[in-house]
Order: sequence, then C-alpha cells, then structure tokens
Amino acid sequence: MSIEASAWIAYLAPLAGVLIILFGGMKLSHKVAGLVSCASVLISFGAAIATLLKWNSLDEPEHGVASVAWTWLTSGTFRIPFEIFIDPLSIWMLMVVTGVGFLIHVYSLGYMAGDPQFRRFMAYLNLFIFSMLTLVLAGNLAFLLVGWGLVGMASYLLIGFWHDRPTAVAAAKKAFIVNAIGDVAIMLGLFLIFMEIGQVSWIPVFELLPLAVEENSGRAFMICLLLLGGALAKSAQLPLHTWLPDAMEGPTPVSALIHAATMVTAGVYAIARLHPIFDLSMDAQKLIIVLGGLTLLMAGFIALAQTDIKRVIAYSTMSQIGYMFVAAGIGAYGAAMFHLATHAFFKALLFLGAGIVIHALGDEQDIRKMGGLKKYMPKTYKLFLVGSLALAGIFPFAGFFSKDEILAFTLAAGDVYGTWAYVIYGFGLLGALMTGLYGFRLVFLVFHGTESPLVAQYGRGEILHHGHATNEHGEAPRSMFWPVAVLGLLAVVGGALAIPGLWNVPHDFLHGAHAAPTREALEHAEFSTPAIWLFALAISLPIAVLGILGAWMIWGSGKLGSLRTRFPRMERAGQNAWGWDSMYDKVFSRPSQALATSAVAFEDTITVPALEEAEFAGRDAGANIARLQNGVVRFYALGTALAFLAVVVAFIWVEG
Amino acid sequence: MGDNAFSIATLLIIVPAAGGLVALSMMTRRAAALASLVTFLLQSALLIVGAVQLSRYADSHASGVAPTCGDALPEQGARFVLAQCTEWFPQWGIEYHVAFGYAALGLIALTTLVTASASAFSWWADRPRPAAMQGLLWLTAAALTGLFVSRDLVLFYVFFELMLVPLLVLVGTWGGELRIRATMSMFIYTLLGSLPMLVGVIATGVAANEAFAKAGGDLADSATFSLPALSQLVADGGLTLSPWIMLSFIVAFAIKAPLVPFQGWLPLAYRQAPAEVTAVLSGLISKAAFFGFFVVVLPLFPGRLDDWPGAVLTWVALFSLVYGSFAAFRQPDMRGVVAYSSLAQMGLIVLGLMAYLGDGGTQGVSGAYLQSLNHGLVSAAMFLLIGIVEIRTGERTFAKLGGLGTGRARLATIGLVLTLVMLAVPGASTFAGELLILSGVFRGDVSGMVVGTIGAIAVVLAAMYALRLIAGITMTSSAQVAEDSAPAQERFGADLGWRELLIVVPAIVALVALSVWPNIARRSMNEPPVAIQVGADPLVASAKETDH
Repeated sequence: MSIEASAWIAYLAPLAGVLIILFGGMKLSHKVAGLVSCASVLISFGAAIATLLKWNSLDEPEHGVASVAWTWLTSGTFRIPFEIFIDPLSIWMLMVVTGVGFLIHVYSLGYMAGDPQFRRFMAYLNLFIFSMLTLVLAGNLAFLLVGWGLVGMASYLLIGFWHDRPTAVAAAKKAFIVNAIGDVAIMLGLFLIFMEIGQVSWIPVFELLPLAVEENSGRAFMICLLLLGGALAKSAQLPLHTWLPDAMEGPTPVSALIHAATMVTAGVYAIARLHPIFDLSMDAQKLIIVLGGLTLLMAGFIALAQTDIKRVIAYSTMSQIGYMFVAAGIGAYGAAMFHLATHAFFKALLFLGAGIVIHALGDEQDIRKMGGLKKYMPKTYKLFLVGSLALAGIFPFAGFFSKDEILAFTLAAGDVYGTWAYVIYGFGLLGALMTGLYGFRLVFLVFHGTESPLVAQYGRGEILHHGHATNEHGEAPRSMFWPVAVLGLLAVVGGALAIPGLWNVPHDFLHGAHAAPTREALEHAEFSTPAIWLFALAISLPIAVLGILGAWMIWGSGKLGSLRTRFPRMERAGQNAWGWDSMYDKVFSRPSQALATSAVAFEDTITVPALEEAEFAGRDAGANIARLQNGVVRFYALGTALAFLAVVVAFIWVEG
Repeated sequence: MGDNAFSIATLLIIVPAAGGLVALSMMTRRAAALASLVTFLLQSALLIVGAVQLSRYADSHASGVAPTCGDALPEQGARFVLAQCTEWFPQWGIEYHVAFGYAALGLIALTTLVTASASAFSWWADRPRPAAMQGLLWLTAAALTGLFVSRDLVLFYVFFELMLVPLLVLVGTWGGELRIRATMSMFIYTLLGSLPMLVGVIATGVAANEAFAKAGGDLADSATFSLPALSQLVADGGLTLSPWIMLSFIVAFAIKAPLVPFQGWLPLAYRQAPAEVTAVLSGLISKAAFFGFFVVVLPLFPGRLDDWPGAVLTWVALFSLVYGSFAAFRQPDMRGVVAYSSLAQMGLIVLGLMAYLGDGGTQGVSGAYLQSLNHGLVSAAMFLLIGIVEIRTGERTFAKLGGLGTGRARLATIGLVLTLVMLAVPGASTFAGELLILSGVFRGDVSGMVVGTIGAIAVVLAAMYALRLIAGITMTSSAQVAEDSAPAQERFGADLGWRELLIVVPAIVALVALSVWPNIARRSMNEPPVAIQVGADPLVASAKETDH
C-alpha cells in the first residue's frame, strides 16, 4: 500500500461511518451504530499510523506528497483540484485527531448511552472527524477553506445537538456565524493570493508567492491579516473568541473533541501550514504574538471567576491556545505543534473527567454546588489531578515540557523582535501563575472541601439517569473510564517527546521545506540553545508551583480564603467575560437587526403596497374571482397580441 | 437539417408542450400524474441523447462553442441534430432558429427536474383540478425550454412572454387569499418590462438591418434578429446599439429576476402562489432573467457595460444581494425568508455576470451559471419543503412553528442539508458558485476589491437568515416557541413519508452530486455567452484549455 492509499483510507473511513449510519437509519441498533462509528475512527487511526511509518521509511524525505483525486472546479485559469497533501505536519495532525478522536468516540458510547438521538450523535462525531481531516489533509487553500467550513458546520450540529434546548440552539448559531466571519476572511485571502499567482495548491503557493509579493509589503500584510482572521475565529482568540464559552452547551464529549483537542487548535495548524506566507510579513507575526499573549492572559483572568465547570475549562483552552499562537507567531512551529498535542491529551482528559462528574451529578455544572467529590470518585479525582498538573506545567507532566519550550522560545524571540517580546514572555509567566490558580481552584472546589448537599445525594445514590442511580456501576461505565485513563497516561508521558538537551521528536519530525520546526530567523537567535530552555524552566516551574500553592491557600485550606471576595469588581468583570458579548451586541448584533427590521418595514410599507387597490379586489374575492381572473388572462393575451401587432407594423414600416 | 433527422432543440420544446396538453386533457388525478411522469421520462431521455450528441460535436469542434445551423452534422446520417433554422417571417428577417448547446443543457435539465418535482407536489397536495395544474406546469416548462434554445431575438421575446401566460393562470387559480392581487401585480410589473423590451427588440432590428446591409459579405443576407450574427456584428464593431435599447432589456430582465428596485411583485407572488408554483417562480422563472442577461445583454452591449452603465448595474446587483439578505433575516414567515434570499441570490448571479469584461470574466460568468443551477435547485426544494410543512401544519409563520425536527429524523436531515447548501457551507456547490463569482469580481482595481469584499461579507448574512429559517422550523429556540408550536407539531404528525421524499430528494441528490463534483457541469458553466464565442476572444482559448 502506498502512502497515498493509507492517507486516503485514514481520510475517508469516518465518512463511510457517517454514510452507514445515515442510510442505516432506524434499522441500525444503537449498539451497531456505536460500533460502526468507533470502528471507522479506529481504522482511520490505524491508517494514520501506517502513513506515519510509510513516511519514515521514505529514503529521501520529500517536501510532501500531493495526491489528486479529481479536479473539483475549473474556470479559465481558476483551478481547484480535490487533493490531499501528506507531509510531517499533516501526519502529526492526523495522528492527534484520529487518536484523541477515537478515545472520545469510545467515551461517548457510555456518555450518550440511553439518549434517543444516540445514532445521530455518533454520525455527527464521525462527520466532525471527516471534516477535521479535510482541514488538515487539504492540499490547497480552497480545500483548507472547505475543511474550515465543514468543521464549523459539524461544530454547529454538535453544539446544537439537543435542538429542543433554546440555549443550545442559540449557542450553535453564534458559533456558526462567528466562524463564518473567519471563513470569509480566508476566502478573501485566497482571492488575493489567486490574484497574485493564479494558483492555490500548497507547493506553487509556497514557492511562487514569495516571488510575487514583496516581503513586508502592504500586500503581504493584507494577505496574512485575512488568513489570520480565519485562524482567530476558529481558535477563539481575541477578538473573535466569544463563541467558545457558549459552545459548552454541547454534550461534553463534543467539548473535549472539538472545543479542546482538535478544531479550536486549527488556527495554530493553519499558521504552521501557511508559514511561508506568514514569513513574508513581520507585522503579521507581531500581531499574532500580541493577540496570543493578550488572549492567554485575559482568558486566564476570566477562568478564575467563572462558576461553570465546563466554562472554566473552555477559558483555559483559550488561554492555552494563546500560548500556541505566541509560539506560532514567533516561528517556533515545532513547539506550537508539541503543545498542541500535549494540550489535546490533558485538556481532553480534563473535559472527559468533568464529563464524568457532570454525568454523576445529574447534569449539574455549577462548581459552587460541588465539593468533596474525592471521597466518592477517587479514580476520577486522580485522573483529574493528573490533567490539572499537566495543565499547570508541573514536572514531569506533559504540559511542563511543551509550555516551557514555548516560554523558552519567547525569551529567544526578543533577539528577533526587540525588547517588547520580553513583555510577552512576562505575559506567559503571569499566565502560568494563573493556570496554576484557576486549574487548582477547580480541583479544590470540586473534589476537596466540605461535601455539598448535591454530592451527598450522589453518595446516597439518589441522582438518577435514565432510571438508574448514577453511582450504580462505580464512578462511570467502563467505556467512559478507560479512554480517560489512556489520556491520563498520555498526559503523564507525552512530555517525554522532547527532553531539553537530549532529544526533541516534534522538532526533528517536522522537517522539510514546507513544515519547518522553526522559522529561520529564530533558528539563528542567540538564545536558541538548550541552556536557555533550562533557564526558562528554572523560572517558570516555581511560578506554576506558586499558582497551585496560592489556589490551595485560597480555595483549599482557606488560609487566604478572604481573598476570594477581595476583588469584587474583577470577579464581576470575569463573570461577564470582560463585557465582550454586550459590546458585540451593541456594535454588530443590534445594528444589523435594526437594518434588517427596517428593510422589512420598507418592503411592507413602500415596495409591496404599490398596488393597494388590487387588495380590495382580493378581499371580496368570492364571486368576482372567476371574472377577474379571466379578465387578467384575457388582458394579458390582448397585450401580447397588441405587442405582436406592433412588431408587424414596425417592420412593414421599415421594409417600406 | 437532413431529411430524416430530428432537431433535438425543437423536440425538447415539443415534448413538454405536448405532455402539458395531454395532462391538461386528462380526467383524473392519476392519469394527469401519469402524463407528467411520461413527459418527465421522455424529456430526460431526450436530454441524454442530446448530451451524447453534444459531446460528439464538442470533440470535433472548438469546445465551449454552441452549435449553429451552419455546422455540419455530428456525423453522417445522424438521427438527431443540435440546431435548426427555418424561415419564419423572411420578409422581416425573423427566423425560427434554435440550438442546443451546453449552456442550454444545464438549464433545461434544471427546468425538467424542478417541473417534475413541482408536479409531484401538486399530485401529493391533491389540488383541485389536478390535470389543469399539471398541464400548465409543463406548458411553463415548454416555454422556458424554448427560451433556453432560442437563437433569434424575436423568438426569444416570444418565449419570454409566453411562459408568463400559464404562470398567471396558475397563481390566479390555485393561489392563496390574495391571489388576484398577486396576479395583478405580477402582470403589471411584467408588462412594464415587456413593452419597453419589445420596443428594444424592434429598435435592434431596425439598427441591425442597416448594419448588416453595410457590412456586406456573408452577413449581408443574415437574418436580422439572429443572436449569433448580431453578436458577431457587435464584436466586429459593425454595430453599436443605443443605450436606451440596452436599458429596455435590462429593465425587463431586472423585473423578472427580480433585482432591487423591481422586487415589488416578489413577496406577494411568492407568498400567494401555491408552493409548487412558487418553486417554479423562484427556481426557474428567475433563470429566464439570468439567461436574458447571458445571451442578450452581455453579447450585444459589451462596450456599454464596460462604461458606467455596467458599474451601475454592478452596484444594483450588489445592493440587491445585501438588501435581500437583510430583508430575509427578519421575515415573519418561512416563504418570506426564501423569497428575499432569492432576491439576494439573483443579485449575486448578476454580480458575477457583470464581471465578464474584467480580468476575472470567465470565473464571474461561469460562477453565475453554476449559481443559477444551484439556486434553482435549492430554492425550489426549499419552497417545496416549506409547502409540505404548510400543508401539514396549516401554519406559515415562525410565531406558530418550531420543534418539528424532534423525533422526525428525515425532516430534520433534509431541512438541514438544504439549509447548509443554501448558506453555501464550504464544500457545497453553492460555495463553488460563490467562490467563482467572487473571485471573478475580486480583481484588478480597488472598486473590484470593494465589491468583492462586500459580496463576501454577505455570505455571513446568508448564514444568519438560513439558520434562522431552519431553527424556526425544526428546532426549539425558546421556551415560548415550545409552547406556541405545540399545536403545529401535533398537526404535523409523523415524519416525512415516501411521497414527500419523492418531491424533495431528487433536487437534493442533484445538489449533492454538484457539490462533490461541481466540474460535472464544467462544459455548461464554461460555454461563454455568444459574443465571446464568436469574437476572437482569449476567453474561448482559456475555456478550451480547462475543458477536460
């Protein structure tokens, strides 16, 4: 089997799952539908591994293998093939998406069991995997955009999965529309690129665009800005981030898969994928760094004040992606992709752990109603703890290695971008402190402390789910438990992919003309040595520990408990997510609704009533109908006949 | 035309016309439905024969060029030929000149499919006087088909007027409460466009007559109203038509499309007509306007379009796109949303056509063509689905609807797929059309970029109204909705049955096929308007290149 074949199998297997469940319909039992769905992603994961092995066995690693299925659209010089592109970067994403995707599929079997819409849910999950693979395997900008739109669509379907829940319907719509803004930005970027070089496939774009567009020109910045717009919307970065917290309305496996592990990191992937374009504009790089830095900090602050367990994790995701954006902005693509992978592990772990808690407590998500769960859920607690330690960046968990690599590169970037980059490094350190704080705030409030009435109820087996006590089979059904355990393991050992001074797998793997681990300028920065990495670790590790200790003092032991209510204004701001929603409501939502309303009013009062009189005729229709209607047709026939007569007369006149 | 050969173009008009007349004369609903079915099958078979013949022709001629009467038969002794020319009123140079090219193929296939679905709907809905209704639907299709194969300006005008006759009867007889008012307003608006257009046709003839005489040579004895000959003459610089003539054509097509400010008849007609007729109105009749721009305005007035009138029309189209999208967003009823989205889509299509003199002309025009097919399928299927919901629940407004998707997987799935195609989700055929149109517009100068950017932003507006539409039907978007929609939910009853699926699924299958491989229509999309194909235009060469 060729490398192309294995990649196509990996790509299309989930689609086959969708089609089987769609056409099987009610004839498929829940069990079979679940099996088909999981098996298709497992096949995809197997084929992804095969692709990886094939790639490594290529004697002379190429830039990438493009495989065209058919020409999708042509007109004039405009030509879009339906093609996939296989190179280390896409293989890396392929592994993460199908691997984590498979675990979450299995988890969903348990989590969604008993839901009457189970089949539809599993089909949507498969559809999402297919869409995400379209995005990461796309061989040209147009199909990147197709993948971009399709994941947005799958996300819409899954957020609004419970379409008898008003909040879910609204959240789904919001997510779709914000993402549609991103799609439009990418589309315009595509037009600009097409205008410059008349091509959209990766290799021509990467090779020709730098020749056609002058480095650091206005045009280069414009192109990057538009592409970045898409990345910001998809990855929920400032200022297009407001949809992500609302997206938590979807079922928890969705939050884990789409809104933590895979889709929201697509922006990071896109910057790494399109780096030959972003290399052309220093200003765009700076913009990415600044926006990433601001997002990571802001999201950290908001996470501290939120009270919904999933929203806390959602803001944490936003913050972590901020780190990845900083890394991608300074050109440390290897570090960004490394953090993307480890984050996928530990964030999916946290979401799925939260899902077990939510499931157990009868769909309660308010952390103020939790507390003392450790006693009843020791295993979940341990796994959640592992996830939180990895998130906080504590040695030797995965986040320690990946986040600190980013911080080290940020330190090195000062060499390239000037002193302001050190401010971003400061943001990163402050963010690390926040991470420890909000991460362990969650741990302490949910699992430690005094037992809340709700948790006590759970302990007594009084919370029912589809007629069964939620603690009947221990903490969670087995299908929900072991995926979380595997993720826990990955969150522990995942960091070993890159040990400073010894080896760096992501860095070495992401090698090739179009998947460089670092931008050239950064490669030559003075600070790019293992020594600086160790130095960065020495600073950030104590800060993370400090964050956890702080969380313990405030929410655990309560020694500094008074701090909880010390900053009411900040708390309120955090709960309002810093007012972005109401600002957008005022600036965009309401004006566009007003415009729409006035358009409707204009239509109804000015345009349409132009024939007011006919309305009277219509009102006492009854007897008059037949006559009038005949009248109309006859009148028309007469008009046409007269028209023909006019033609005849005219031509006689002309002839004469 | 050989002695024993049939003209496919003529047969394509005759089959639906005869089928319509047969259906009209049937006594029972069942017999009328059978007549419709036979007509549909015959017409489809004929289209397949035509497509095969066309591909043979294209292999031996410059591809992307519609056949004309002068061309040799595809092969010796062929039974079917693509074009036919017969003298009609020789003293005035009027010919019966029809030709079946790729551009006609796509549009006629659309017409056939949508008409069949509409007549299936009328059968399902058990309309009074079913035979008359089905017959009139097919007569409309016959007139439209005639329009799509016309190569003579007078013939074009005749079909353009003819198709309105059965339509007015359909709206006036089977429409809703205000059907007479709707019929009147349609009629008056159309008349406002038709009469000036007639004067335009005559004036074109007068001007052409002199010009042909002056040109001499082959052209001296040309038919005065032959579109290919006129286009050739215009392309050679032998004829420049007055801007007033152009205006008369543009207004007629802008009313038919409609474009702002001629949309006054649209909301009333789309709301009052029976659902299947609304499907035909928005899916097919608006395509007559597209085709008018495509074969009359673009080829006969290139010099004028290059100037400020083209710019004005571009902005009118853009305004229609944005205005229609906003108006669609807050409509109180299902039909209103799709009606105004049609206004917006026609704006987008004309926008693509207006790009044709610029750098991105090929993309703009072929995108407009593809989008015409897409819009025809989407809006027709959407109106039919809405019609099903209306008949089952007896409700039209969002205030009384919602939550229908719960427990009805087929309705929810079909509604969702149509919505996603309607809002042009990336990967859908509508996205392909939009991509071509906007990439054609987004070229060169600053104004192109501005127009392209505004057009692209309208994509977001489409998402807003389409999602509101589907949420308003199948989802429960507030607690209030749950309460208010309960009676409608109960009246709707079980999920869609096979009869209802029969009505909407064919259009969806066609849309999915076009989405997986939009290039399936590449030859239709890339058949340039007459002016471009006769002139030695580089576009022909580029269309040739890409045609594989």
